[in-house]
Amino acid sequence: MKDTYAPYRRLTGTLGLLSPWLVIFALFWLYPLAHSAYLSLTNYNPLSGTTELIGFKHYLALFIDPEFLQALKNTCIFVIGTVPVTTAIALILALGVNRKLPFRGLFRAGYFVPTLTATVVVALVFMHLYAQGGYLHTLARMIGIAQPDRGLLLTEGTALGAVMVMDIWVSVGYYMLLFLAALQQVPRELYDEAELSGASSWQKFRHITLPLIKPITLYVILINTIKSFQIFTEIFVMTQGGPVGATSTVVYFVYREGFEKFRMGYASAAAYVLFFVILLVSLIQARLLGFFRSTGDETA
Amino acid sequence: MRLLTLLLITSYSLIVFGCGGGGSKSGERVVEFWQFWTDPKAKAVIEKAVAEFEKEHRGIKVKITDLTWNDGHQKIVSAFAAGRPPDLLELGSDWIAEFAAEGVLRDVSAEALRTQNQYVGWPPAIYRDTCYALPWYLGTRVLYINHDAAGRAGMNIYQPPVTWDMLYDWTQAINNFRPQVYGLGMNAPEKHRLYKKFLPFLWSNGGRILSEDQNYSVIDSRLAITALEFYVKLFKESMVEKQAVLDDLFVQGRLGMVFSGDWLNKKLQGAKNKPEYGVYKVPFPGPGKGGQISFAGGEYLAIPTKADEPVLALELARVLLRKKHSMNLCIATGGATPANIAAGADPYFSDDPVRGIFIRQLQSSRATPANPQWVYIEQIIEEAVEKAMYGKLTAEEALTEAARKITAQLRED
Repeated sequence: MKDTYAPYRRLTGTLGLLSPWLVIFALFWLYPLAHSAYLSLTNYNPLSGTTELIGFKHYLALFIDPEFLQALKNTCIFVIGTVPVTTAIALILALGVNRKLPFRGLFRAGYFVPTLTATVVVALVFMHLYAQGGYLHTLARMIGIAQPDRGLLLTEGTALGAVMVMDIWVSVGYYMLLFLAALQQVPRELYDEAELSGASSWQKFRHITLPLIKPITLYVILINTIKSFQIFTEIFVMTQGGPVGATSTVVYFVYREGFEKFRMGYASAAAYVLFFVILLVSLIQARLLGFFRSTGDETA
Repeated sequence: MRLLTLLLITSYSLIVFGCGGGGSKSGERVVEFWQFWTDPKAKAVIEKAVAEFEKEHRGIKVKITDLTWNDGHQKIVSAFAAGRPPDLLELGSDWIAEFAAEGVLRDVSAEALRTQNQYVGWPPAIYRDTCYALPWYLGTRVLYINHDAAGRAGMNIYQPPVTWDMLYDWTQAINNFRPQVYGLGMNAPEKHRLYKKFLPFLWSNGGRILSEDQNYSVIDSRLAITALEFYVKLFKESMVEKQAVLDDLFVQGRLGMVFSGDWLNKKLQGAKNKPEYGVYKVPFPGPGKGGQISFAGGEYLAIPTKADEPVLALELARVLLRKKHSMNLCIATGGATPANIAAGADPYFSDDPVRGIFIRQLQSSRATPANPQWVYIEQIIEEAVEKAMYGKLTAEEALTEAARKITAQLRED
């Protein structure tokens, strides 16, 4: 006899087994997300516990707040400055360590080590590197290069660049590993056939490697873009947004507004603006890189 | 299906009960105490005082929770917001008015009246004529001078810089030994620290932040502008770094002078190859102008309105404030300025030349105004100083903008 309740029982069982995760997801992800959306429309004061609905006032105020606009501008510069460079260096390194080189394993591990190191530790090391009288300053003096009057992180024109360089150094190993995994999936026969046809190294890279690692390239760019938009730890440890706001980023702005000034509503509104900026940029990137197109023809 | 149900119940039990902290045993009264002394030596002093309290109050346990200055304020606000504050709480001097204004601290005026002659440092604890905290441990900033570096630069160490002009001259003279030694170390734009370094210049020159009635800002006065102009002039000649780095450079003998607190003295005492050094009161603008006024901060003990054990919390505060524990805390931390007057009068402080300077400097130090908007005012001042330091605005423009913003902030109150 056919058990008519079997699909329901299966569904109940599946939901039951998933429910611990679902409960945690709802409690610690969905609820805060929804609650912060609500907070962004209020003047919530955590100390007195008072909440006043003010509509979209915070959102409107953000777009005339010079501190937020400066933070948004710095964040965009950070993303534009780090994502292409990190992606390019990671790909070059992956191509390098994919070859049969002596000590290849050592190089692979070496490039990956910064990724394994805690960001705070790396930030502290780079702070010493960049300081006035620090290693870079001393090196510049020894080889006769003009040094800034202050440490690199305390000079308005170099602070953001210095943080970007550190971020690239830290991130590149992880993305290199992803590219390496993708490169190792490219069939060797394609290169052999191309060589027989007289293709140059560049032609092989352009017409075989790049198309076949396109999905991972898109993934690297998307993930790195999102991560870069959310830059916080490095700023918090190294510069606290200074000097004169030169390294203030949106997440750091959210932190200051929310957890130093306790303007939770304003901070939530800023976080939502960042969320929509990331969503928009990710959609544009995905469209430009053909994420929504079928890849069936290319891989056939 | 039964197995599945059992699995689910077990999982939920683990989630729900596994996340909870270990509560007190039923029937045992617990006093929760949140404090910031995490250094092992200082923590040992706190634990000793707590053990004494527990011995005097049989059946009462004290649960100590450590906070850090980086995120302590945030955790305290979260606890108040959740309606679950501890029974006794250590607070920074500039937070008291902020919490008092929201009604989350208990009035301890009666205790203050009873003990007002036993302790110093009351002003930051008083908001609108009511006392909300008890002074525990005070701190000020003095000028440290590397005698070796100053001597090499031809400066007479027996006539240390007392005026601003002398300070500037000494900075330039020691700077001639760069890059080995820098003349003066000044703070980079560090949050919660920069204003503590600028305010002594402002106050020493007779400037003020707020009007007497605290209804508007007077930080754009001519005296304040002159102070910021001098601060910027000094900044241009100085080694600029974070406080911790400046302290390290001074200990290594690579800095001629630095404004710092008693923690640096402790660091120097434990250091090998440290320079010959001395500590001095902060310089003032010049004869007939202002005074040698430094920044006074401190730690205070407060009892939240929603404390479960307010009476026991006050008892615990009294034990912590006793002379011997105040002394031991200062000895452990290298501190020189206990709020307990009897402890401060001990020869340990008065007979030591360095600690004696701290005591004298504290007598001519000033705390920030007890205003609930201070957390915002502090940031506005730091932004103004930073803008002037980096040439974004002149001193006058920066302070005019700051005065406008502070006044607007006060009106929001």
